[in-house]
Amino acid sequence: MKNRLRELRADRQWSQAELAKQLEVSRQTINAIETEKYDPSLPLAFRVARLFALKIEDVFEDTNGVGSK
Amino acid sequence: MLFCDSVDKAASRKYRVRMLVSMAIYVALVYVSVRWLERQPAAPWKYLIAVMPMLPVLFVPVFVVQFLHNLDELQRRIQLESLGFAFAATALSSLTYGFLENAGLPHLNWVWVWPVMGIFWIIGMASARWRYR
Repeated sequence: MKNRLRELRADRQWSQAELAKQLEVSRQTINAIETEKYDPSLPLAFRVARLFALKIEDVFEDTNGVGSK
Repeated sequence: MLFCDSVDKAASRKYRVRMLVSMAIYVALVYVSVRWLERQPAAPWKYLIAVMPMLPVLFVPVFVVQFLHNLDELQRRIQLESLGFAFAATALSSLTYGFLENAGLPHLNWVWVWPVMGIFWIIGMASARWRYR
């Protein structure tokens, strides 16, 4: 799943470790989401969106799911 | 599980301490048990003495499940994939060797199953971590 996590994190000048701490996940999880090797669970995706004060669809883009545009 | 990035550092430390204490008592009791059995105690005591080292590790499965609960979602997936690989690969290798025993290869002790599973678990974990690196 495409996402803007790396871009949003860079805007705030946070390291992967800093973002991981705020989201209470491991740094490896942040890296895997940024490199699009892992799609986060819905609760984690909501936490990410809330942290950046955005809607979930402004962070994550469903490119090949059922019903996607 | 010692190679995992746990999010909850306190829970991770508690797990490591519990595991190390359990294993240390286990190793000491293996020595006591083996030496005691050399004196050829009578039944049923010999059976109790033989399984005595398992007492301190009785709760290890519970510790492991608690540790898995404290992992974040990606780490839990990595563990699922590595343990799944280890489970299937151990089944495959133990069955294969069992059939080879039918053809005359020497009988191996059951205690070898766990080290084999441990090695497959490490291989599976290295591979899963590589995929999500």
